[in-house]
Amino acid sequence: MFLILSFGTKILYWIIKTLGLGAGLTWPGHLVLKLYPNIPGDPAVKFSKGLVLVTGTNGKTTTSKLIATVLQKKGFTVAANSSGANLVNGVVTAVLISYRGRAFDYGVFEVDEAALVSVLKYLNPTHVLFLNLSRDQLDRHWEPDLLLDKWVAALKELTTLPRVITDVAQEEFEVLDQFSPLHFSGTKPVELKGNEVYYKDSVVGTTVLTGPFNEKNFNAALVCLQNTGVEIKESVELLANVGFAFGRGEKVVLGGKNLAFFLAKNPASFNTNLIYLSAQKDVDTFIFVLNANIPDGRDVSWIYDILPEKLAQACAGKKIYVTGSRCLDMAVRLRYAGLIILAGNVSPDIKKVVRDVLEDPQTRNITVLPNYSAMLEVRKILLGRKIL
Amino acid sequence: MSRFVIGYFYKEELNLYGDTGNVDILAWRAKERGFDVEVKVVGTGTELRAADMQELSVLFMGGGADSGQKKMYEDLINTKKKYVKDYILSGGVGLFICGSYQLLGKYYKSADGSLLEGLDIFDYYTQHFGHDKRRSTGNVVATINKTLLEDVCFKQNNRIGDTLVGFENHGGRTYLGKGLAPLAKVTLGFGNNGEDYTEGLYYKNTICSYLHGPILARNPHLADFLIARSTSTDKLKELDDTLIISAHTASKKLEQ
Repeated sequence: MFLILSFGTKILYWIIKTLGLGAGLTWPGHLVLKLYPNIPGDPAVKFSKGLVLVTGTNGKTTTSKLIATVLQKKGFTVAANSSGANLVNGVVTAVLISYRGRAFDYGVFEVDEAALVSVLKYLNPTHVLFLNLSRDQLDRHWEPDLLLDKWVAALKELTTLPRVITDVAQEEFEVLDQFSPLHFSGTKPVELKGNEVYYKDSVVGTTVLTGPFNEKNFNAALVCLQNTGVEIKESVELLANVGFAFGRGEKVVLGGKNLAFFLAKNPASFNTNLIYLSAQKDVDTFIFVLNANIPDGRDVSWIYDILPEKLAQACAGKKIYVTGSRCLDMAVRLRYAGLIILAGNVSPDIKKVVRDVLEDPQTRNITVLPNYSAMLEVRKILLGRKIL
Repeated sequence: MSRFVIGYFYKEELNLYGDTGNVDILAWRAKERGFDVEVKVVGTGTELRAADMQELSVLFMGGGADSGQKKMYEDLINTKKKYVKDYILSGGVGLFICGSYQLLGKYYKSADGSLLEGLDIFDYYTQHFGHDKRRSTGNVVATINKTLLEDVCFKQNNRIGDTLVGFENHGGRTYLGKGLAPLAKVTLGFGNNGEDYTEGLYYKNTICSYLHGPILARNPHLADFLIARSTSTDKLKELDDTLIISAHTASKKLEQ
């Protein structure tokens, strides 16, 4: 049964990709779960050495990419949802697509913070990495407090308690202390240069993954990998040249212009990106892309939790374009942060705005700040593909 | 220059849905009209005096997560209830969103049946019917209360029309007592309780609402009413609100 489904999924995935119907990484899993709800319990879906789940508001894609990369480079077979499809159906699709006829050594999956509870009903992980928790998509998740309670209850239900790993700096995670977690980001060297990575209080190497969140993401991955048996030194070496996960600081050259994508999907990621971008003096153009589809959260109120002084600082004197289905909301928000927004630079038509920016002779270094579904759309327009 | 003082109550504890934006927007729009704007944050532990309340132009209070509401509740009931009540009843200008709107009523009955006493300033109550009953979440379009629309400070500064737009997200349902007037009637969305089409409360110069967005972002007429009324200005200087008016208009076409 599993083999048939795996084969079917691969064909379906190939058809979806070839016909450009979408990324094809969620609904094959959705369909399979309907046909064969027991699929996660199938003996073929076994991870003989470990199953790592990475969750939290920000950093999931990058951190799980780091962990999966090291394990793959060490020669293990790894199932991973590196595209960021992180609900139950995305995890199932990832397993089916990467199946090569024998059980996996490892599974490394990023899991949406609200979907963690349902994923834990199907799978019993060996490691759960909790990165952080802040406001995101309140219309879907309601409130962070409620989510924490649900996590605790779901962990308690598991047959075998996984090794819980948390950021010790996140006060909210104190409720997870009952699971005797392993901590990351506890101590760090006093002085850390832009591209250095650390473990406990010493610098252990360098990375090409610079930028706001990655210091912690990297540290979290090292701690997790060490617990699965990979020495810190080896992880650092294997990760030295690993670049950005898609849309997280990713850079692209197009028609002689430099584009950088910074996923900005909630106040925490937006503010951190803005602090980083304020220091990037060569940026001359910003494109803000705001959607309010279900994966983004349908309430756009959160854009007022973006700190206005940070917006003003990062954008002062730069060209600003605004697009996405809720571009007017974003334009109003930018105006209330004291920025001047030209009506001609605001349009829900992402294609038109992208064309305008690329055709404008004055734009050269362009930073795109999209929220989640907006990033998929922009990438599709600019690069011809939504995801990897 | 005349002063414009915003009293931002429980900024730390009650700021779940971007509601801080309301204070930023009021400050921005008042500044553009030449007022000398000051935001005074009143939190747990702030000692209030009657004189502090007298200098407020607008009092603002938002909504919070359960943990935030727990932190400020005792402080409000024990040390600030009298001030807030006197302020509202004597016609002070105020905006109360979501959780703080609920707190001004008689009580909040939670899903497990426990009762949280309100400030009892108004005759309404809020009940959460449990997580099996659908949470009131989605886009809202509502028609503004006629009395408010006809108020000189509202009418003179209104370049939007008779609608309010926003996003609601609440588990509790609020039932207004007889004799209380809603802020608006929903044409899209749940409003106070999903039954009687009412949304929010309008009393003297107090506006209560479930709308986020934040509410003042796409409803500049409401923001200007608060500024005009609290500064006794009939007609405020017009601002270039082209983008904001477009945003309001576009919001009327959103799905719930």
